[in-house]
Amino acid sequence: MRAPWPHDAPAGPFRRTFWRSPLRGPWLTAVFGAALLVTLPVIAVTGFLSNAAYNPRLGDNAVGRHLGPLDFYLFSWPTRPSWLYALTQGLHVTIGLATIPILLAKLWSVIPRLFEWPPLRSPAHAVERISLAFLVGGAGFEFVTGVLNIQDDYTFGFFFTDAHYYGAWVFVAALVFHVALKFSTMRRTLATRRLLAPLRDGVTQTLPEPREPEDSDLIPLAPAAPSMSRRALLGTVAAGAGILLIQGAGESAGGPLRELAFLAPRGRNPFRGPNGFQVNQTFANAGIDPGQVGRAWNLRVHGTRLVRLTREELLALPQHTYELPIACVEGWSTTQRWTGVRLADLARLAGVERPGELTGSSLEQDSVYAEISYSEDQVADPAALLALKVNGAPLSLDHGYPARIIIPGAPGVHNTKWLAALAFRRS
Amino acid sequence: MLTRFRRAYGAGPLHALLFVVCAAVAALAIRRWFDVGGHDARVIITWFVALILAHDLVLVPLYSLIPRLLSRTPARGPGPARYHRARLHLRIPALLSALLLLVWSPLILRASHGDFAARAGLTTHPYLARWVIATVGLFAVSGLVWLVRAVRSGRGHAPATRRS
Repeated sequence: MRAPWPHDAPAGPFRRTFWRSPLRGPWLTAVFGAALLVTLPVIAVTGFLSNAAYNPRLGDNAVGRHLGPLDFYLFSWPTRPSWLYALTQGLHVTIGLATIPILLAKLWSVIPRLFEWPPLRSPAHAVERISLAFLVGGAGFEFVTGVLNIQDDYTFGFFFTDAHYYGAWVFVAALVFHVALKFSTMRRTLATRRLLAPLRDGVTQTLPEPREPEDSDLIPLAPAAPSMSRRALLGTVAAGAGILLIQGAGESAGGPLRELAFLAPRGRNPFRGPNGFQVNQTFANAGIDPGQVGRAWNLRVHGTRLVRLTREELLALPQHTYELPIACVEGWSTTQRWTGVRLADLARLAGVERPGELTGSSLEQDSVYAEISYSEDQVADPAALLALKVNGAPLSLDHGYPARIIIPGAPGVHNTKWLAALAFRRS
Repeated sequence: MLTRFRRAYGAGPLHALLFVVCAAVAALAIRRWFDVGGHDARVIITWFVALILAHDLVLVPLYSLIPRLLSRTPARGPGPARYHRARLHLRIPALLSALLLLVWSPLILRASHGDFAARAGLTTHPYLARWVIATVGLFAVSGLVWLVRAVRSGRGHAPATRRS
């Protein structure tokens, strides 16, 4: 059967002479590929761990998802160390940000491949090219939605969580296929072309990569004069990754390091005083009638009996204080001193001696996180609190007044604010 | 049998097997978008395809055009090494500044202003100024390094620039 395209490549980008940058070549692509092979698995693993941290099997924690075969469930999310989610999600967002310049450089380095000629050589070649569409689309989708979401930019117009989660599966599937096909090329290239030798050349000594012992269509046949050495290119990519790494790390580590995250969304304190730390959802945006959190507020605690407790009654119960982080899915964290009643003590008041799962409901109506279920381990942790104060002061409205839940190690939105009711089940 | 498969398919059976497995996982994930919400799924697919096209039709021309425009070397002027070095010290901070703008554009260009103010209790107001300051800082650091290198090579400490 004759191919439906001419044997010779048409003029323009389909010809190897069109691509003139002397820096492009298998060594450069292999270096970027190796860097991505380190960062992308970290991002993927911490991303899937984030899904596990929401305990999606409990109650309505999967926020409308009917769990299917891809929603694997490894373990009940632990409460210790209390900074566990701050670490995993901080890594997810921070390494994700730092990967952006590496990914852009990698895409640049392989552009000529987009214009391969002949466009299709065999069925195997066809499926490789199809997989590349999913690889580029998957990477673009995951990075763009992630970057928009951490900045509260919801222009994409769909529910972020499901889109980003299943998009990750599309990207990972395409990535596994790509790495399986290219890994040996990468290793061979780094072995035969010597790992760091090309970095020694200054701009005037920068030549195209040698076409011996193995030619590659990435090496230009008609190279332009170099305007930049490989050292300068890699240095620029590394500097970009470093700057973004600092932005993410500052937001995640908090404290004095937060100042470093000067372009990141939670790089500063929104308010002064004991309640001055970062907010994910303000009271004004929660759609709660201020009358609901006034004098008339009381907490309904369901167990084997129903108990109603006012804020004064809650403050009269034994109080405990713990330093615990709020760790947002958006990658920022903030550790504060929380004071309140142990959840296990409240269970006992409602007649449940050995509490199992707990469901907490917020006064907030419109949020998909208005009702959260907690595991037996989370309820049993002595630091799992119904918090009434933070840093010695009553909670502010933005931080959940009259009362909020604080669970060590849990994702930020599971620290339910403006609490209306707790429902304990027996173990 | 194996040889015939190789000839017809263009690669070994492992290649085909892995493709089937990965394609099945991707198909399952795409199916899950539709299970969760039909409207969202259509918007998600649109974004997915738009991002592939954005890479092919925007990023690729940009990537191949910019270096072409930037790499014109003047016929006269200082020697190529010194010229390259000076240009590099403008190019690198410009690239880094563009990267910061690309990543933080919702805050810098205030695209997410409303939602950010409502959710975080913060305004996007400082970000444009911060990005400008960061850009000035990047050019300043780069210029300083250039100056130090120029002075040192002028004194003959770094003869590399006099080559060629």
